[in-house]
Amino acid sequence: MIQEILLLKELLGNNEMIYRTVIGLGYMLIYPGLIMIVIAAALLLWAERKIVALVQLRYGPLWISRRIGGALQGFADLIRFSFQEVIIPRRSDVIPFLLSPGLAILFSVLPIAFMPVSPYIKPPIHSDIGLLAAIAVISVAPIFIVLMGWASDNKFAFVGSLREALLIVSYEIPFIISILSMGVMFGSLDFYEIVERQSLLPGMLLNPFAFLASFIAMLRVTSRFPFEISEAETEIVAGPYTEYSGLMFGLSMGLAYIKLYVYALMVSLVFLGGWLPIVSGEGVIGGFLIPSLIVILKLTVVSLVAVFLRAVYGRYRIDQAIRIGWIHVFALSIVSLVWSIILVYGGWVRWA
Amino acid sequence: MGVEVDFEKISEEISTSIENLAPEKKRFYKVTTPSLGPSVVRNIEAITTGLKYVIKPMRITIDYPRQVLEQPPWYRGMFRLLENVCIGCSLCDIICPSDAIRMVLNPEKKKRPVINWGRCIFCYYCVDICPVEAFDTTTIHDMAFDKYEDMLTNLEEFTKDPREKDPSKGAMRMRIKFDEKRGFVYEPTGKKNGGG
Amino acid sequence: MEVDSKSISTQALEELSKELIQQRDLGITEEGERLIELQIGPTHPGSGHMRIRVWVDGDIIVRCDPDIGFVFRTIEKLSENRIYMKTIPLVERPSLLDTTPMTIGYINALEKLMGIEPPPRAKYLRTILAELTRIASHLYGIGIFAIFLGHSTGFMWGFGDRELFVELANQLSGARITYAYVIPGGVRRDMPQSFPDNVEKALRYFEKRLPDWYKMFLNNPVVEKRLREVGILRKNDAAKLGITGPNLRASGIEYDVRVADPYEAYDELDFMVPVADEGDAYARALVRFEEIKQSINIIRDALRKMPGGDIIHPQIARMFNPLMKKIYEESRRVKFPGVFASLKPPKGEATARVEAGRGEALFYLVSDGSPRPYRFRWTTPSYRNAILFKYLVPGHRLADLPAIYGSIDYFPPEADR
Repeated sequence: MIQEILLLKELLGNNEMIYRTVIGLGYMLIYPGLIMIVIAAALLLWAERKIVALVQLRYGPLWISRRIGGALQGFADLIRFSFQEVIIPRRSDVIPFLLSPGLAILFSVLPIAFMPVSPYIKPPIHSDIGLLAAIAVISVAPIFIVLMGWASDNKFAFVGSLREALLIVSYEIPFIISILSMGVMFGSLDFYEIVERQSLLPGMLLNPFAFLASFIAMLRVTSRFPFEISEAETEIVAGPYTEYSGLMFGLSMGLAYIKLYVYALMVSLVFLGGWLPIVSGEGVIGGFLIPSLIVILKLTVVSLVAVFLRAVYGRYRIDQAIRIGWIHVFALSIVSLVWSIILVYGGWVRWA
Repeated sequence: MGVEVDFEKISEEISTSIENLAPEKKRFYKVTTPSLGPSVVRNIEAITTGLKYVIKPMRITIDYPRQVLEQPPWYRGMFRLLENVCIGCSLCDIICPSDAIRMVLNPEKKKRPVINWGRCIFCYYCVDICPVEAFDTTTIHDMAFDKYEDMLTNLEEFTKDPREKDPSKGAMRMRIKFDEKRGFVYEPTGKKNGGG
Repeated sequence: MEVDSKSISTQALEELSKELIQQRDLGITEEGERLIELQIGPTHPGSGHMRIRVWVDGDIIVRCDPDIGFVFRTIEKLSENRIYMKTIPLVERPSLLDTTPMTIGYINALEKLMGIEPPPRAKYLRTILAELTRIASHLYGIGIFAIFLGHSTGFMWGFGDRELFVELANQLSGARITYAYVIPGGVRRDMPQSFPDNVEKALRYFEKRLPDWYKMFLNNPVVEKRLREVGILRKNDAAKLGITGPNLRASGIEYDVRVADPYEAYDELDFMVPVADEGDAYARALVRFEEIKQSINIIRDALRKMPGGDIIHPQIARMFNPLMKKIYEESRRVKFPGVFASLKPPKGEATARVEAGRGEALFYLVSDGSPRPYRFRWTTPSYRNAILFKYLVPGHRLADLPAIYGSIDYFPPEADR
């Protein structure tokens, strides 16, 4: 397809505007955007169930596509959700109720526009404050989760969305601080420069505190165990998603996995060195395919570790989670910021 | 109402009276909640324990419709009536705890039991009280019926061998073998489940 | 806990209920509109059908009201219209995970009425099955407890390892859960040849698994943090409320029917009973794990000391016809003599107590000389522990409710009977 796009570029006589529109649409809708995200979310769902099943002495999903270990289960679920009836509670606030899952997903996918996956094809918005912009956009998504609970007019949804709001505040701040401390250390907020400057040592070794803090905060922000508190099944049914059914439920459940994909992409770019060790290849294969495969590999490792924790942990109580957020994780993120400053001003790291 | 009771004293009394009951056998011991190590270490321990099972999976479940468990021969499954052995004493009808067994008259005007599988709880009281062993037992327990009427047997159906209708025909038969390392393992018996 | 149990008159109760109805209708309470009423259940909130009404102020529970009786099955009344044998499967049904101790209790009461005592081998077999059931019941309780905390591995491990003991019981009795193994005067079948060997293998495996259980569940920082200092039941409260079983022992009271009033083979066996002082959810979980260890000791000891001989009282064996005698001698399977269809114990009354998995169960049987009991009274441990919801939960956060529910191992069908 890349070849065709290049052909298109020639046909259009190097019309930069149209070229960038086509590439940008492809970037946002196909790879690494929407379609890739759906595939990744479905596979992540399957991988989570399979890994957890291994720990729990059982098989996990196996009935659909038996030969490949039930890998298509996620897609089957997606199809099932799409054909189920969507029930709208009579007392709900209909427009926010219907719009908020879609908007939450929109704002979770949008940061992709700032994040590169390869040196060859640049993201639609190539900005020198890409890191900050990506964080800013993805921070909007939780508002719609709160809106979901509010619009449902259900006690459990209400309690769930309150929990979400409380927890998001106490974990997004450490996440932002620890990610930005990497920006301080690398002296840049441009993803390309950040990746380039990890060619000697990946970010997680340069600033392990930031990695730990942002990984823990990522677990919470993407509703992973042990912080899966806003959807706690045994306490408040499904939290903000209680009243959703059919495709809407599929969307709101998939939201956590979509966010996990985006956050894991961000973590693998900032801490794991993105497409390194490939510095910059030539052409489509060397410059796009292989680097993005490396990025996907790193992203997969990060998200598999995140989903594996479901097998190990229960969930914290909300006050304990908030305490951990504000005392331990926040402190860790401050330490990471100080560490970055020491490294930069002590002259330990120096960028050309 | 309103009487002050010293519950502390009562509980003390209870424990002392128990001590008096069995003075030579002090059979209680205190479990103190352990002072656990630092939580970082315990986190790592929990995660490595989980990883251990990811690397070396130890499945305890069975791939059910494809593999079925072969129960021990004394397993209480569905059974049938051997009509020519039965003497029509109605003891099975009397003892059946869930009133699943009912006596009917056969063409020769003799009393014979029929069973309602929807009510049967597989306690085997009927089988055990039968003075002539007129029930032929099997280990089949996972039978499914289309409608309620199918579960009400008449004399003709109750004398048929349930093994003919075994739902897990063609499935691989597995036997449980107890094992020190893995609790138990499923061992294929080598024969396909061919309806008996 | 400001609940005053001293003097609640009927008038005050009426006023209270009126007030509650009004509050429910208006959606307000004494503190204005601060409280939200949540209905947990009644469709299977955890281990069975029950409803828990909680009033929360923000995230703090101010009042908790367990609403039991959704699975009330009139077991006591049903048994009055049945011959004695038919009640054996009936007492198994409510406490489905804990069947053998219940049948033992019923049969003990019946045997006292009939004036017979089972042969020693039957007593040992009963004890072994009761302890296998206790382990399975505790593992079920721990599994449910774990999923209440969101710890899905504890749930699956609980059920997975329970399979081991269920399968052992299957080897012994021929059924996986509803054994109906204990009959008046003995047991229904002798253990198979391979049984002691299989038990030993299974126990060794489980002992090897226990360290993993501790690492994954009890020592897990998240689980520990959820359980420590949660739902503290003090010693005098436990005595006052009449709590029983592991919950009582976790509050520091040394009481166990197996020690206080030994039945079956317990007075000949070597075992200890764990007691903890803290009385919180963590101590209750810990006591359950310790009890599993002790049950393993009991089973080992019972298999070691297992006497030979009959498994059915000679008075019953005498009533066998030649075919039954042949079956009994060849395959050690007890056939029922016809008299079982019309057991008529002499007039009188008898009580029996057992220590079931969740605590003490009391059986009281009155016979008027007819084939049906005149009265059968049965108090189950869960029924006695249900009151804990009202006293332990208020003051905690909503998220602590599942932790407390799980830690007291409450089983609604058993409580409702």
